[in-house]
Amino acid sequence: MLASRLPGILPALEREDALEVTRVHSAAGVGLDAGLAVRPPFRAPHHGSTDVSLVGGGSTWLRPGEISLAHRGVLFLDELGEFSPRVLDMLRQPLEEGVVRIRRARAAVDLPARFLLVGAMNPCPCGEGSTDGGCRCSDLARARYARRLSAPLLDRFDLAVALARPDVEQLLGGPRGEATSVVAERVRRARWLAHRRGVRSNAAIQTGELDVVAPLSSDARDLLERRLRAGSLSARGLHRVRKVARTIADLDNAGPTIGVRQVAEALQLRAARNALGVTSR
Amino acid sequence: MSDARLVPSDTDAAYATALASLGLSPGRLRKLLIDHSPAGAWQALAEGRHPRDPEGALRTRVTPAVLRVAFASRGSSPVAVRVLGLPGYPASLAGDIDPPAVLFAVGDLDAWERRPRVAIVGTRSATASGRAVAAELGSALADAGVVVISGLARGIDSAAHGAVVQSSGAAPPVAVLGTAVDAKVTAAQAVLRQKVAAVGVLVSELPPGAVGARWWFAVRNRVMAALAHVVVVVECHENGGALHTVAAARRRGVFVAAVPGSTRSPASAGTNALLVQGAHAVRDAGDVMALLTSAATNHPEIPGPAAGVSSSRSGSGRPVRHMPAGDATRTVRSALDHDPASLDVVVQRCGLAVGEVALALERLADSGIAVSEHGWWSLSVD
Repeated sequence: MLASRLPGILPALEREDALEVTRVHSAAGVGLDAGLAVRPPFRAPHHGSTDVSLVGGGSTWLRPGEISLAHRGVLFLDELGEFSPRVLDMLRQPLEEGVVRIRRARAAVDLPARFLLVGAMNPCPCGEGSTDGGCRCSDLARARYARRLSAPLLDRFDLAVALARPDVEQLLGGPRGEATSVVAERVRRARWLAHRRGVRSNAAIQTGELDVVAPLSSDARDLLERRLRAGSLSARGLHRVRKVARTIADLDNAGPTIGVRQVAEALQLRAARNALGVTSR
Repeated sequence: MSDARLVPSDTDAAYATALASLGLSPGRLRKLLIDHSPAGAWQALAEGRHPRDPEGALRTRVTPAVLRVAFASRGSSPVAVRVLGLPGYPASLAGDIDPPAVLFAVGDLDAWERRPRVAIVGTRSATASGRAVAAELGSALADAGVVVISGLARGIDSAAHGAVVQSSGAAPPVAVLGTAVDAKVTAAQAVLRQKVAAVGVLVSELPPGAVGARWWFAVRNRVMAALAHVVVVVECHENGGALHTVAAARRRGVFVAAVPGSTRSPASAGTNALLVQGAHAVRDAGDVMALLTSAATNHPEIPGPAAGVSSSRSGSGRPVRHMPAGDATRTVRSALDHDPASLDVVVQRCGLAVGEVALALERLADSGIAVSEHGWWSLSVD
């Protein structure tokens, strides 16, 4: 449910993107009842999906796969650990380049595939791993489960959140979250700030540009230095954390300098990856 | 190391290895070796005239190929073989009601004799606090000269022995394995197994290279109980595997102790039930030492613990933590407890902004008050 709300907070497609998305969807034979696609698409393929259905291809006609249908939108992979490792590793190149290159004996096509990847998985096969001491999986089963996601794929996730099973009070009532429209407005403004920096989103900021567009306050720098020295943050992780902190600052409307709070929050959003076998963030 | 005269001959060791690799239960293997040398038992089985196997049921399994592998493996193996009834067999196990017929060991097998011995056992899926208690017990007992016995499984076992190998080394750790001493295990387990082997002893009933059935884990628990003077269960689920060790200990009149836990924690359901049934409650190494002393009083053959850990809880030597300044940090501190909570839960409890909470958590982690595991936050235990 959480993931399916995501397209709602993303800005509407610009005309050029809308045309591109519509073209891909039409090539795939997906119904275009509403005419031009204006909202970011949301695709949630099942974990039993074949590699061809996911990345595209086919022997008679080359067809766009789910990742191209999710172009300029959201690709949600529920039960990430249940997808075959081979299929998941096919996502790496499109994630990097925004394009999937399909090569067959008879044809070769490049299909657009720039999507926001969202994955969800249990910490272990039995699903009780989020309760302390509740998991009863064997060591081997846990190790095998964690290995299903390759380190390079995991590394492409910038944000990770540990989720507890909601308790009764939370299910019945509990504090209501913000309305989608309110969040959407914040996202629109943050994207606009990114545009002014010359990128579509802050993830695309060049590492060399970070000191210019995301300068750190002195206490933020101290915190990162401590984490680097302690070995709990890698060099690659540092750049990712700084970009995420930039986005948090944009969402908070916090001005040009990144403060220690934004850095701390970005560090937190990286820490939960450890549950999936990543040792350093 | 042991004197060459006091261990089985290479031939006996090789035949015993071959017999142990037949996949028989410990009881059946022991019966085959009664009144027989390993070589004699093998010959009798091969010829179908062993009094314990009159039908010749094992004849097809007793093949020259198995024997060849066993002899080849004995070549220059660092793994010692001990056979019940032959020289070099540990005295502490020889008198047991169900002793292993053949033992495979790495390390000095005499090291645990004439020392007080405590088995620390518990669940694989332990809580952070359970693992911390196991580590505290392991390190304090080892420092006091107590041999800590455990099974090298994930969770409680690993926490206890992990702390023992880091301790002053006053007494060697003993790992009783449910697998062969060279079995394929996870990387973390392999590292710990190597460390234990370096300063202590690894014991298994399975010959090197053998892949044991799952029931070996339950069966080896009796060896831990047989070796220990006190069995401490740190955390255990309802019907958890550690209860096998408890049953084996009770059969042998070995003291059973359990660490009390929250009644809401599934990982303490088994231990709390043990306490209700009358097991000794222990909170720390001091309590275990007191139990060892009374075990030694009742049974003079049990060596009394060396002086050291007092049984009072005063001056437990917990490090003093300094609370970082700031109201937000204090609020976040009071929103944490020993039950791990995810970031959003902590944020909800405090009613502060996410960034504020995140910063406070990083500060609390720096000063050792809070710990995070996989993005779950709780108060640090020590």
